Amino acid sequence: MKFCRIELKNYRQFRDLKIDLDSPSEYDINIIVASNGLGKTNLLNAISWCIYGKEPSLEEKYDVMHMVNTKILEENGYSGIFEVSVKIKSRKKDENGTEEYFFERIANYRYSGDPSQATLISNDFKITIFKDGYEAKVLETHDDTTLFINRHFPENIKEYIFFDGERLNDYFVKEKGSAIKSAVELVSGISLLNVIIDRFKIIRTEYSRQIAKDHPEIDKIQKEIDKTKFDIQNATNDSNTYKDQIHKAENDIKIIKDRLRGCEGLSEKIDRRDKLEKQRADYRKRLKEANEKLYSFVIEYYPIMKFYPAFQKLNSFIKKQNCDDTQPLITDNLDILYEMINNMKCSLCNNALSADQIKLFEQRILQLKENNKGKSFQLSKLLSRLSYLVEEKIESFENYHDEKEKIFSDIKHYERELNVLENEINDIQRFLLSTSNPENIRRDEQRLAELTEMRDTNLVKKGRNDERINELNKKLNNLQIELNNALYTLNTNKNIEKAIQVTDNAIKVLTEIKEENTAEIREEINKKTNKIFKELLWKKHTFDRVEIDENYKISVYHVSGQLGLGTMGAAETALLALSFMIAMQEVSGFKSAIIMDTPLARVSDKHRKSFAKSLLEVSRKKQILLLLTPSEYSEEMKAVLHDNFNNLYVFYTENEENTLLKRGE
Amino acid sequence: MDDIRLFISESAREKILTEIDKNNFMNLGKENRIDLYVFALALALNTPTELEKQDALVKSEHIKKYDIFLYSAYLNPLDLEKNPELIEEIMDKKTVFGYCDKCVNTGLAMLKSKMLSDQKQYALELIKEMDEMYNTYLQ
Repeated sequence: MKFCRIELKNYRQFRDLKIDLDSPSEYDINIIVASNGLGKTNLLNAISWCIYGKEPSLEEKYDVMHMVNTKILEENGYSGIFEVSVKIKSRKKDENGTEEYFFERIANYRYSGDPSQATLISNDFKITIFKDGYEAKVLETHDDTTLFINRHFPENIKEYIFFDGERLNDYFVKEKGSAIKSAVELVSGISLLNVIIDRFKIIRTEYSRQIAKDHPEIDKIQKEIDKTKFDIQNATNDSNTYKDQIHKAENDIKIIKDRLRGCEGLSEKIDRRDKLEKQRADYRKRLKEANEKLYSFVIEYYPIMKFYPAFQKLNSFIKKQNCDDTQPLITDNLDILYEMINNMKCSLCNNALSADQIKLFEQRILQLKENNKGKSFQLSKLLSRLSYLVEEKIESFENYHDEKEKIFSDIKHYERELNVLENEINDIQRFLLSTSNPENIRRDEQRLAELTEMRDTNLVKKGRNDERINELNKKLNNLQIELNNALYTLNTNKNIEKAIQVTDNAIKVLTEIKEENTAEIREEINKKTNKIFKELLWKKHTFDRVEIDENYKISVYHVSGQLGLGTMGAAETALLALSFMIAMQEVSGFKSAIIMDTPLARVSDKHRKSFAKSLLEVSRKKQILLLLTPSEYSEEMKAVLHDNFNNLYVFYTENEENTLLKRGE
Repeated sequence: MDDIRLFISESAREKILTEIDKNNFMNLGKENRIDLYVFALALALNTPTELEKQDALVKSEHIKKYDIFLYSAYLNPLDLEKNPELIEEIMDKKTVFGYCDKCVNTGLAMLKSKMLSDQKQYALELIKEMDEMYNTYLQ
């Protein structure tokens, strides 16, 4: 099936756009070149909206109300009813003749003057089928249109029809396998077998229920079976939810990791720098305090040092005077003696003085006064005090060396620590300066940590849930055996027993057929993917084979025998996705065009020419619509495609609001 | 009780103390006037210069704890060995402190010239000088 015409009306920046893709050419390759922001991805969204009613690239970013073209809303003062439509005309030609399909989705929105308030009034989708030029059928109900769409553009694997070069990594994630498997089963008719098997299972349950009516013990087992099935269904739904969340987290992790390549560990580095800066501030404070201690030390000790000879001189003078006076002044402090007599207690031991002791002190005072021999009493008191202070200062002098060493040791320690910190901070700063926009990278790293935690939590939850499902399945199995045994031992209606046996056999045979067919189809897709990939690949001797396992997980083996998916370049990965997509379409029987949005976004210049050649080769049998940026449509691409494309269009704008279309050269 | 204060010159207050206070040079700011006085006295021990226009720096109640430096500064140039009666002069506080004020006047001028340099550098210079003194005195 190929697209012949796409019409967009009032859809986002497309006021009224018609793209004709229906010109005969050997190569059915169509190119639309548009700068970023002009609507390449929105064209893909428009097609997706028309077919599935969803806009995959916009769901998380924009509100649906903005779907209506802004220019027309402004012209009408955001008031009135506005119709948005996307119409796609396509054609399928085969040995049975020509069929044309018109896909039309029309939505109406009501605005009442407020740009932020829109009401969706209607959203209708229909498919009109023409057979050899005559209208044959119109599909309008949800079931009819969904069935038709899933046979031609299975939603589960829409990424393989609407190819997004920006999300190349998504194509080979493990979780995609089950979606591919179910889509292949649907389009190849295997899902029909599933439906029949499920019907037989229902019939079998009904027979069991009939017997259970007359036998309460069987009724009990049957009810337990029903309950267990219900629990399994619920647990499976939970597991699927976890699986979706894991898948989404892993996709986002991949995107962020791609962005962060070469900047790993930046967040830790910023955290480390912040921690070191705090330590540095602390050490600077300590060093400042230590230096202040040094200044105080200098101010305290410099006078002691400078006065030391003067102190020595005074000390020896006082000592000499004391010797001459026979009584040491220092031990005979007159003030203290007077104080003790007045208080009638000893100033040293605080004990009360006896009358004899007081008398002794009074005699001592008289003796001291006598000994001063003309020296004034005040001078004696002063010399007594100075003698004490001089001794104290001389003692301080002796501590000079130790005190000084202690302060210097602290200063040296803090300076050394600061030096180490400064060096490490500078190293980190140099690294950060060499990294563009570290704040964005930091945000990415934080988001990465959150996503990783979210994924791991969901993995644990899923693991527990899967374990529960296993246990429930075991329980169900045992209950089924118990039920069969109970039915066997009961002498029940022979006809019902026979019917149960027949349905059991039918289920067994159909399951075997289904498994055989599934394996055959997968094997066929495997073979074709290998064939196409090798035909398209320019480095033919690099890769040995592609393998698709029973869960549709794709592995590529290098000629050396090693797994090669991780080592493939973007062009080769895109080519593998394309090969698998074509093989899957051919084997399973649905044949749609392929639309590729920025497929070369991550393909290097040197591989573009080879990739273009491969696309050209594919376009002999299959329509390709390429949405490229001007830089993607490089000289290398032009050299291959220029004389061979079917249509070349360019998106442009005149008023920076509406996107227009013109033919390119 | 005697109310004898310690003085510096008005110009020293304006030109030197203001600068010291601004950056708390060597921790000698406003809170520590007696420390500043004793330090300046040590810098210019026994090298007095006349003060012009006295300005009180330290009140008498803050002096006692440090007066050993003041008496020692005054007694240091006297030959007590030969003339022990000279010790009586320390009873005249006004003379003793007045002499010290003059030495401090010289010391503050010396300090002023050092205030242009880095205080850490100055501290290290003084440490070096103290080390030399310490080693000499130990011998």
